[in-house]
Amino acid sequence: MPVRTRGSRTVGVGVAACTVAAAIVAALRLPFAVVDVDRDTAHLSSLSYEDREFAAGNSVIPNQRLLYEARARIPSSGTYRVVTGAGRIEDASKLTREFAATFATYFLMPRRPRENARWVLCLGCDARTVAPGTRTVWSDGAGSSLLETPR
Amino acid sequence: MSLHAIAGLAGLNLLVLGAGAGVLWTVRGWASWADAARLCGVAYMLGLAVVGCLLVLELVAGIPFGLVAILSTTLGTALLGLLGGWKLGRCAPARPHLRAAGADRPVVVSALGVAGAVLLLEALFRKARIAGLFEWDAMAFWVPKAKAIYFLHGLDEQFFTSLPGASYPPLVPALEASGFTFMGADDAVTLHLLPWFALAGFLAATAGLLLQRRVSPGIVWPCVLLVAVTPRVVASALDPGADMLLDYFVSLAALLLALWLLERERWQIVLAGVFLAAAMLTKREGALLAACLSIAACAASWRERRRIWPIVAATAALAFAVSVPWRVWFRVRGIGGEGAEAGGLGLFDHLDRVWPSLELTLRVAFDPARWLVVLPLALVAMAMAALAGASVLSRFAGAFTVLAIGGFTWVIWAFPSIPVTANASLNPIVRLTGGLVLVFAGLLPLLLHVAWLGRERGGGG
Repeated sequence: MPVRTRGSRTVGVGVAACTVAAAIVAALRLPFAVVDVDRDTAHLSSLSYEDREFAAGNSVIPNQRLLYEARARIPSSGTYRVVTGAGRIEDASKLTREFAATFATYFLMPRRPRENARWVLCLGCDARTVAPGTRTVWSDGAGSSLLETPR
Repeated sequence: MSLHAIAGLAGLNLLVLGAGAGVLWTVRGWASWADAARLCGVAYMLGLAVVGCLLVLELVAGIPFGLVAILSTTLGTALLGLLGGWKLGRCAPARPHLRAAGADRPVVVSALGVAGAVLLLEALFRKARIAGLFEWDAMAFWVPKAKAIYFLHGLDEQFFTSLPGASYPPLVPALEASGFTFMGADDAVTLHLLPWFALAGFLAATAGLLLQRRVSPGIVWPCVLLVAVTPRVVASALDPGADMLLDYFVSLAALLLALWLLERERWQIVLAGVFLAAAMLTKREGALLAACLSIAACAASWRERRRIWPIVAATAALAFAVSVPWRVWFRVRGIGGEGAEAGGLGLFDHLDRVWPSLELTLRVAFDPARWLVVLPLALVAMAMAALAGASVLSRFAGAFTVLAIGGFTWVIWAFPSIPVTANASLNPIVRLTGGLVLVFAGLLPLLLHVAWLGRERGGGG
């Protein structure tokens, strides 16, 4: 500790008490912090790479395959749109319809979302009502499908 | 995740360290290699701030983003720094010498402190390698903006005007896009190592700045570790959003301002200005916290106001000026949403929110489940420093605390659509309070140090 040149006894005791308190709390908390982090790490390591890559998207997108198919088929300079409908979507959450487009924007970049895009990520929508001549490129038969509308 | 991606990120961070070291060499220089080692954390954080600001300015200017831009920015800054130092006649650091006998006790304390920090950082590193993007804001706009810069080599109008938080400054996305460039892919998993480097740099910088002032390691390490192990820091340290980086910049700016108020060395105010500029380009709240720090510095230097205030005002103005091009960029494109939701006089229509907002701010800031006992200890340390006659530092810390609490209260009050709750997904108060609490990673040990000495000046190394 530095040599004190002035100051009251109260101040010295206060400073020592603060330092000791900080040291004790930090020393007691450190093992718990490491255990907390280790627990998170163990959970993360139990996930597949896809689950890690999707992360927050797992609570939004009911079937990861839809976005993997979209990423594989839509060219990186291409455009797409997300269409949600009232149809049944298996494993959908209450976030699905509201935030599917948000997650798709993140996941499919640099592909751009565009209103009249040819590629359609369909979640509970009716392919027949999207556009005349729409082709189903991929579907899980449970409400998620990738559609391609005519040029 | 791959070793290639990790190596790429490590390479980027080495370049950032080099850039910061160059700037630090110009503005301060190093007395010895030990001095340089103590300040390598400062150099790294300075590199993040300078490179981040330069990348934002380049993006706004329309300079194509990519490997060439990153290399020329980092290497150019390092080179200019070296040339500047040489022009200013900086001497090469002196050779290390053996410690005097009896000086080994601080080494043991430092070793224990470093060991504690390394233990935490090692655990966080293992998590960062495999962490997913679970943070909503990071997934909704921070990382998408980084991807847009990486893939489209600039501020793409469609993405930067349509993504949420369109008026948020792009310093963090620019740094993350640099990470993607050096990883060779938009690997959002390994990206979590970038905030890990920032945490390590912040802890090293804070400890380094205090130790170079000869604050006892016995005071420095318990306080720095106390902040590092707070549940909020441990939970959010790897978040690829901007909150933690903002807090680091604000904390370092506060420590440097405090040191400058005590010692008046030019490099301290210069570095404080750089960190304030980076804070304002990191998040909108950066401007609020920078204003709080500047006003607190003025309040602490009331007796010398004729000499100090113009310098503080000029530093704050120059720091703000760095963010002006970005503000022009988004205003020209019709992006709003910077001001308070309630408007100016509209605040008075929501007077019923004042007390709940203040109560929430105080409850969260003093919540031991989030911030342990950092603020209670800071209050005691301020009182001790004031009792010991260290009035400048205690006034600075006290004024900043009051202003920050007032500022956060205003944020909650001025946005009536925000529910008054400590739920972090509904109300920003938890992350806002980080800008107050993390400041005491540096100020708490400094307050204790000056209180122990009973004087504010003359402790420098």
